[in-house]
Amino acid sequence: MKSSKNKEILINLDTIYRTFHTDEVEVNVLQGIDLQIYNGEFLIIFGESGSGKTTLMNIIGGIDQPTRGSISFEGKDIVTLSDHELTLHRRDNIGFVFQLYNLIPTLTAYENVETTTEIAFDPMDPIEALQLVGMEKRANYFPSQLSGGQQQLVAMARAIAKRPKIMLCDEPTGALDHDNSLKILELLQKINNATGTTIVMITHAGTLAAMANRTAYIVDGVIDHIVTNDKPTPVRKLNW
Amino acid sequence: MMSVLNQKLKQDIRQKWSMLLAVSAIIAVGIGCFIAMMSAAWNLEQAKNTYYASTRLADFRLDLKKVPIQEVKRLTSISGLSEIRERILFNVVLDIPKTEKVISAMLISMPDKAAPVLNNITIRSGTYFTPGRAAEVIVGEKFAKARNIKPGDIIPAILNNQRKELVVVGTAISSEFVYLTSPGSLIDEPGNYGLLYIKRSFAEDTFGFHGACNNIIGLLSPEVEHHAEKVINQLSQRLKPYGVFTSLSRSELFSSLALDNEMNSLKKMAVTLPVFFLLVAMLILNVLMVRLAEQQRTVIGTLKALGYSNKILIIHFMKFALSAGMAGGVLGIILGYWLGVSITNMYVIYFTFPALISDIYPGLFSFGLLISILFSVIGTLKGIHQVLQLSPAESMRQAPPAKGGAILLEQFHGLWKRIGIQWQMILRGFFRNRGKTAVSVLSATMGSAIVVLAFGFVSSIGEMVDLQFNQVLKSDYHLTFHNEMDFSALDEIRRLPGVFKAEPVFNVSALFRMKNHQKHGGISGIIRNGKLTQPIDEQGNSIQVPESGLLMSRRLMEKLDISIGDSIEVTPAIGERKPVKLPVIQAISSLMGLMVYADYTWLNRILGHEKLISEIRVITSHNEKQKQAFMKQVRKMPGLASLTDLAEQKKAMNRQMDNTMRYMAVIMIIFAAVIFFGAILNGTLISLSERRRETATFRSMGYFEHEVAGRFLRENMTTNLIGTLIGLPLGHWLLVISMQEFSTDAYSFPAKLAPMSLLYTLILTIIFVLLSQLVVRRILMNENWVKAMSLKE
Repeated sequence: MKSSKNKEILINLDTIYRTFHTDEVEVNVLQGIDLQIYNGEFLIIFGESGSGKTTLMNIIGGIDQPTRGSISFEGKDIVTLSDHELTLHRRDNIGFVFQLYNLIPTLTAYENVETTTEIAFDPMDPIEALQLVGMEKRANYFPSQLSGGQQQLVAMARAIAKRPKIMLCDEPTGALDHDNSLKILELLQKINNATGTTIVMITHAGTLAAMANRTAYIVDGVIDHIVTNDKPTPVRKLNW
Repeated sequence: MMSVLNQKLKQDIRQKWSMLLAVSAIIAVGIGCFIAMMSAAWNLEQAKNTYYASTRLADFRLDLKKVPIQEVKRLTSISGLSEIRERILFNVVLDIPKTEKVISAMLISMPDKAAPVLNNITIRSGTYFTPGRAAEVIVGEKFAKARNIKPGDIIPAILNNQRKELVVVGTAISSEFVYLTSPGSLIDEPGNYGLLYIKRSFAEDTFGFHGACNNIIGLLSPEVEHHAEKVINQLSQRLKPYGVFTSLSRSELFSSLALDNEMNSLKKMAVTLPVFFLLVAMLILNVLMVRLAEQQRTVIGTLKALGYSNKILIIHFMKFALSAGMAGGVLGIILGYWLGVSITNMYVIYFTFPALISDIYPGLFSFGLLISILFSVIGTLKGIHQVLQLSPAESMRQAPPAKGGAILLEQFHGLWKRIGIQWQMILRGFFRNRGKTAVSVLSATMGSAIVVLAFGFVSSIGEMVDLQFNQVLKSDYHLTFHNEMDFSALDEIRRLPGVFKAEPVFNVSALFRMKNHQKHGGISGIIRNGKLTQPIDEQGNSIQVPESGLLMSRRLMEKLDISIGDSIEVTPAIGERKPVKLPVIQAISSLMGLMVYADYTWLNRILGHEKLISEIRVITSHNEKQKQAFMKQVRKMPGLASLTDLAEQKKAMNRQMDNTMRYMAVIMIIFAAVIFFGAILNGTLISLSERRRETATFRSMGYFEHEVAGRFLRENMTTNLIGTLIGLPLGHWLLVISMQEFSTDAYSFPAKLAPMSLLYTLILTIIFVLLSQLVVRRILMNENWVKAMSLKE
């Protein structure tokens, strides 16, 4: 786990605004977010429902564009990228883990991981990724044959298999019970420690702040404050 | 309570409007086909019935050598005969100035003074005959228009070997010749073959027919109408000593036959073709409704829990499907009416009626709407069944996760691994959604069968023209004579300028009888090893006439219940008219008429004649000067009844095919395209609505939009190509059936499908899929996949 003091900026968000227009209503979801994400850190974005966490995550991940403001990834502006360039950016750099796993139901665990490895620049072997999450024995299982926790593990193997520079996890334990949640969180911490992959995780469980290097608290579309934690607690030791 | 559901219905329709529109379009085409063809048939039928009744079209017609009028009058004693009219009728050659070609016409006698006779004519311009002048003529309107002949003009004609100048007093049309063709032709050639009506007295004087006639027409009393054949047979039996060439009931007259065939074909097509469209629409709707029921299971459960009865929910879902049915029905009626008018207008060119009007048929329209509603209701049943099956508690729970599991193909491990993830997903998807996959394949099967049928129509008729004019008849011109000529006529023709080859034909009108079957027909005596007329066997191979015995068309053999080797009783209409027994040696394929061939010499001998000639077929030089010289000489030939220009006939036939068949084929292909587009778009939209999250996930993982769209393309291409491959033999089978249905005694169509048509059909399928893909990509581009990513499945 790298200390945030290294200050090697991976992503820089500068006064990000995001407004949605629905029929006659204008909703300002993000209202000037300034945030730096450092290389190798474990960052938690904490906020209540509707605070704009997921929108912020989508913008960080390059699947949504801000209405105003700029974002750079490794110093390169990604707001001005074309759809093609943005797709390549996601393909090469970003690993997503969703709350509802989003596995492809017609593919086995192995094949789900393959969906990443077949397009990535320097991927792991799918089995290697599955071993990393302890799902290698279930490689030939279809999602419907796996529990929710197992599905999320496969989803993590899928995200990690491309060796992304950053993993974005949108409430990865949101649909899981305590034991399974623990497993996922431990694994995320392990990946962060072992591979140095930057991890950004959205959650609304406040106690998880202790496992991260930093926690950004988002309220009504702005960063309210950021808490830095020099000694992240191992997940097992969290009172959670 | 209902207003809330109606609100939901509105929203459902708004959300799924593109899918409903695709279904409606297919229904519209089906109903459109039905209404267009049926209303065109009814327009023809109405015009025909009015016309036949107002001009008192005869129930039968007999052509004879010559019979005294006294004898004709005595026929009225035959019971079942209510009215009879005798006429003098000849094919003659015209001598139209500044026309190099020999133009033939049918000359028919009419009473000197206008009278409401059977087969009366309707004057279209000028007047009926005037008293005082003998050589007056009323010209068939179509011929007059094509040749720019007007009242007051003079038409020189060779009548009974004398050149007469006929004064045109008027133009007319006749219900007897709604569709006019020259002898031996199928196609009307307005400027090349005409109708001329002359005064009875003038005809008597010119042809030496005082107190005699050679054509009898008559009306039957209503009580014998259904067994007309019996009365007609009785008549021909009575008139046998006068040499009956042909005896035809009204429905056997070529004009009536052609018209009836057209109406029947339209009606058959009107009933069969729409089935394809409605079936596909029904199946697509079925998939759509089942999916809708699945997608809305929670809503349904909530509504049930709130106390909405099954009946209300059924009506609610039914309304959704009915919106597609009704929209399709109404669009179909509009399309059908418009297309019906267009088809009817096309017939105005070929069929001559005083008025051929496109009517509006409220009953037909209502029936069309009813069918569309019926099919959409059937398409809803399975979905409704699903709605009924759901218990409120169960349906409020989330649907069980999508089924997993390997498919049979995965047992071929090496192959399975090699095909890649995209194909693995597609193939598993196919097997997991068997019903939906089957509907996609079936839609393509139906669509491609229609395309094959469209290509087949064009190529079959092309084949018929090719067989008839390139394989069977290889001559340039046919010269027919009023009376049989002796063999010296052949030498005379051979000496004409530009004649390369000339062969004699001995045509004998005869009555064929086998046990209790009998039929009037003819035998063509052609020379053995001749080059200009080559009958073809049932496989289309050229064959020679046998030294003795008959080659008979399969259709005639079936009508007379004859097998190969049987001997048939033949009573010729010339000479002593004694019946003879002749063996049938081989069955042939006959494209025009119920042909019977025999060796020229053998036929002459067996009937007790010495090399008689009734027709000479020639090949001439194509050099313009020589052609002109040939025509000039032919025109002077005594006894010439008509000259048939085969190149002209072939041209006219191809022209008519271009106008009608190609038009029909293009429309059929456009309609098939509607099936393809409708089915593909619907299938894709359903898949997309079910896989929105999956698609969004792929995009977030870094898959390009074209890669995501590519999966839909592969899916659609696979199901549509498989469907098309099944549709090819189905289309061919339909073609064979259609051609059998369209064939009559007067003409038959071989079912021919050019091998390239199959390739074109496959190419068209690929084009349809690619064009649909443009729409699919548009939909994907407009998809809000950020939102789709967090959707629940």
